[in-house]
Amino acid sequence: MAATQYPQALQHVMSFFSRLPGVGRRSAERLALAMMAWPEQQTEQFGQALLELKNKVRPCAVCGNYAEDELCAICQDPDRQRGVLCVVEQASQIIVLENSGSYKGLYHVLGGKLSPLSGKGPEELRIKELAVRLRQGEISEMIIATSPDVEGEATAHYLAQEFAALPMTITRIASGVPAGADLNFADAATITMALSGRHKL
Amino acid sequence: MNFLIGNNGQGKTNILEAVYYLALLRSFRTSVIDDLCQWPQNSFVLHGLLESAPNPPETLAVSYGSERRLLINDAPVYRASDFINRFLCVTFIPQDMDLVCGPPAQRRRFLDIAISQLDAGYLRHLQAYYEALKSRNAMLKAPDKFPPATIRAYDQVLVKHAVAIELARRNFAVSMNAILVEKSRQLFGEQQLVILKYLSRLGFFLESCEGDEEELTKAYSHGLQHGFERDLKSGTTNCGPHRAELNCLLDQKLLHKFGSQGEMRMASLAMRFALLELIRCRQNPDDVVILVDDVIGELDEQRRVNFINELSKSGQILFACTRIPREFTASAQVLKIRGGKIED
Ligand SMILES: [Zn+2]
Repeated sequence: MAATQYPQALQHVMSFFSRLPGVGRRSAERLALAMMAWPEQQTEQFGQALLELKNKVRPCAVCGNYAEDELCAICQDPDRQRGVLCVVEQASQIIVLENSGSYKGLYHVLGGKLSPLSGKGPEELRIKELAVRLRQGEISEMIIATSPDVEGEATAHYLAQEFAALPMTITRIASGVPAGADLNFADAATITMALSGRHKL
Repeated sequence: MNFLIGNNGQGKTNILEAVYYLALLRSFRTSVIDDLCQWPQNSFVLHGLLESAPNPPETLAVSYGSERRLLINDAPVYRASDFINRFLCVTFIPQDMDLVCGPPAQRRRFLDIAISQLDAGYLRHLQAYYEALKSRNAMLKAPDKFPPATIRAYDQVLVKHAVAIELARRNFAVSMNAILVEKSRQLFGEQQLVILKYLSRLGFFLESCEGDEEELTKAYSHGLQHGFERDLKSGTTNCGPHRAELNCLLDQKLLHKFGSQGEMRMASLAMRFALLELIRCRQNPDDVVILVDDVIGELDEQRRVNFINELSKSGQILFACTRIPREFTASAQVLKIRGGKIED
C-alpha cells in the first residue's frame, strides 16, 4: 500500500518552503499547513507580494543595494556625504549599518567575499563596478566593512592593494565587531564603535 | 583518584577515550570517526557533567550521527573552538610515545593540543591559519581564477596567524625546557637532560630567525614571496608552521632517530609531567583531568612511587589498570569495569 501523501498543491508549497535557509522538511510542512488556514484574501495578497518582489525590487545600478528604481534611496538622497564609501559584502548589511544611525556616506555591495574554497574569485564580486566609481575621483575615503573572518580579512587586504594607488584614504572598520561575529547580528552600539574606531590599511 | 579496574578488552580505555573526546573533540586512538562507534551502529552520543567550584556545574554533550552536534548546558554550540578545553585533559597512555618518536604531524599535534590548553586564543589562530592555508593552496591550483594579487591578500592573513603560532610555540618550548631540567633528573637520573627543540621550518629564511613579532612577520612574508614560483608549480604551500618540527633530544641526541625504546618512553613521560606542571601553574589545577592507561608496568619501583606521588598533587585522576598498583597507598574510589559497563 502506498503511503498517504498530501494533495499535490500542498506538497508543491511545502517543497518551496523547504528550499529556504534553516527550514527543514517538518517546518516546511507546518508552514504550509498554517497557510491552509489563512482566509483566501490573505493568501491572494501573499501571492501578489511574491510577484512584486522580483518586479519591484532590483539591485541599485550604482551600489548594488536593494532599490525600487534605477537607483536606491541612499544613492538618490542629496543629503548623503558623497566623499565616503563603505564597502559591504551583502545588501542586507546596509540596513544594519543604517539602523546604527552613525554613518552618512554611500555604500558599495560586493556580493560576497573572496572564497577560494568555494571557487569565488575577484571576477565574481562587484569589484569592476567599484573601480569605476572610485576612478571618478569623488571618493576621498573607502571604509572596508567585510566580515572579520579569514575570507573577509583577505578580501579587505585585496581591495586595499588594488586601490592603493588612488588618491584616497582606505580604512577598515575596527574589530568592535567581536571576532568571528557577523555584521548582521551586531547591535547599533557595536557598529558605531566599529565605525569610529576604524584604522588605515 | 579513581581506579578503573578490569581485565583487558572490558572497555576501560573506551571510558578514558570518551572523557578525552569531551575535552578535545578527538580521539587519542584513531582519527577515523567510525572506529569510535559501537559496531554495528554508526553514531555515538556522549554526555558529561563538569563540576569545578566555584563555577556552576556544566553539562557537555556530543552526538555524532550524520553530523556532529555539540551542546553546553543543553544549548547548541556551533564552533568547535567554543567547546574544546572546557576542562583540561592530560594523558599518560601508550600513545604518548608518538610525541617523541611519531611522525612529524603527530609531534606537532601534541604541541598544538598542549598550547591550546595553556592559551585559549591559540586554537583560533590555528584554525584561521589552516583555513587561510587551505584557501591559498586552492588558489595555487587555480591560477586562472585567482591572480597572484589574491594570493598576496591571503598571505597577509596567513602571515598574521602564522606569526602568532610561531611565537606561542617558541614560548612553549622555552617554558617546557625550564621544567624538563627537574623532570629529566627524576626520570633519568642526575646526568641526563631531555629537551624540546622547536624548528620553524619557515623556509631557509627563518630556520634561525630568533626575532620578535615584527621581524618574524617580515621574514615570513619574504619567505612566502620567495617560494611563490615553487608553490605555484607544486600547487601547495611549502613553508609555514604546518611544516614545523618538534624534536626531543636526550643529551643532544635526537630521540626519534637514535633513542632506545626505553629512553623514548621515559622522555615521553618527562614531557607529560612537564606539561602537567605547566598547566597546573597557569590554570586552575583542579580543572585538570588526568587519564592514565597502561604505562606504569614499564617503570621500576622507585619510579612508580614517584609517578603516583606526582600525579596525586591535584586534579581528578582516572587510572585504568587490571589491579591497583602495590605502590599506591592512599584511599581511592574503585570502579569495576566489565563488558563495557561500570559494575556497582
Ligand atoms: Zn545605490
